[in-house]
Amino acid sequence: MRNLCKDLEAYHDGELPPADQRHMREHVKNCPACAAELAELRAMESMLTARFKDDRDISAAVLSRIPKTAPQRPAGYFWQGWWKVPAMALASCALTLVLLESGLIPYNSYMLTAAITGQREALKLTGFLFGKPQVEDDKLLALLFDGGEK
Amino acid sequence: MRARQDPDKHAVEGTLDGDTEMFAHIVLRHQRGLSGFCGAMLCGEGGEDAAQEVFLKAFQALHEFRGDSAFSSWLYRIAFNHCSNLKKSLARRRTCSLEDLSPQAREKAMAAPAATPDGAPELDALAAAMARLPANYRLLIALHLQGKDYAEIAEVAGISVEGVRGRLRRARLILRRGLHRLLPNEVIK
Repeated sequence: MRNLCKDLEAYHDGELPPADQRHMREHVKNCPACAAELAELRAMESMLTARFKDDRDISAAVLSRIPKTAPQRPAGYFWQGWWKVPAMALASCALTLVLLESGLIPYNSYMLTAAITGQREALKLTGFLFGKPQVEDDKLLALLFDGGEK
Repeated sequence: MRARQDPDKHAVEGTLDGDTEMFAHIVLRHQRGLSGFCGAMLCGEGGEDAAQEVFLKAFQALHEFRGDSAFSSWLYRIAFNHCSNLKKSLARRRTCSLEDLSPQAREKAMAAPAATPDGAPELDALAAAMARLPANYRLLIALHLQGKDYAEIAEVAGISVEGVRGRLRRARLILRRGLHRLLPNEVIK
C-alpha cells in the first residue's frame, strides 16, 4: 500500500490530483500523525500569510512615476533571424531531393546522355583515323531511355 | 506546459503600443501580491517601496518580455533580483557603518541584541524566521504565500516542479524549527 503520509505537504498545497486529494482527506481523518502535522503546517502558514500580507494600494504612487512615453519595442537584431539560414538551406535540399526522386529534374539521364554521346563521338573519330570498328552503343542508349523494351 | 491564456498579455501589448494607461491594469492586478512578496523577501522591511521599484523596472524593461513564460513569472523574477540586490546592499551598508564608528560606539553596538544573519536589526519572530532561510528557499516560501502553485513557483525559480516540492519541504522544516514556540499548543506535536 502506498505511504500517503509523504504526500501531506502536496495535499496541503492542493497539488495532488483530485482523486488523490480525496484519498488523502480520508487518510488524514484516520492518521493522528498526519492530522497533527497538517494542523501545525496550517497554523504556521496562516501566521506567515497574515504577517506578510500587504493590502495597501500603491497603484497611484507607481503610476505617478511611470513615464508618459511607452517603452520602445526593439527593432530586432541582425542575429535574431540566424536560424532562418540553415532552415532555408534544409528546405532547399529537401525540395531538390523530392524533385529528383519524382523525376521532374532529369538530372541523371541528361548527364548520362552527354557522357555517352561524348564517348560515341570519340569512338567515331578513333574509327575514322585508325580504322578500328566502332563500338555499338545505340543499344545501351535505348536500354537506358526506353527501359530495355527495344 | 502553460495552456492557459496569460491575463496580462493584452495589457503588455497595449503598453508597448503606446498606451501607457494599460500598465495600470498590470499594477492593479499584481500590486498586493508583489508588495507581500517583497515584504517576505525583505523580511518585513520596505516591501511596499520595493514593489514600486519593481513595477518601474518592469515598465522600463517591458520590451524585453518575450512571452516565453507568464508575465507574472517574469515580474516576480525581477522582484526577486531586486530584493536580493537590496538585501546585499543593506547588509554591506550596515557592515561599513559599523567600521566607521569610534571604538567606544562600536563596542556599544556590538553589545546590542544579536542581529539576523543578513545583518538586519532584531525583527519580529516571523520576520526573523524568514531571514534565517537561504534566499532561494525564501523565494519559494514568499511565492507560496502569494498563492502561487508549484508550476508557477518552478517557472520563477527556474527549477523543476519536483525541485520545488523538495525545497519547499526543507524550507518549511527550517521555518518550523524557528517558529515552534509561536505555534498554538494544541497544534504542536
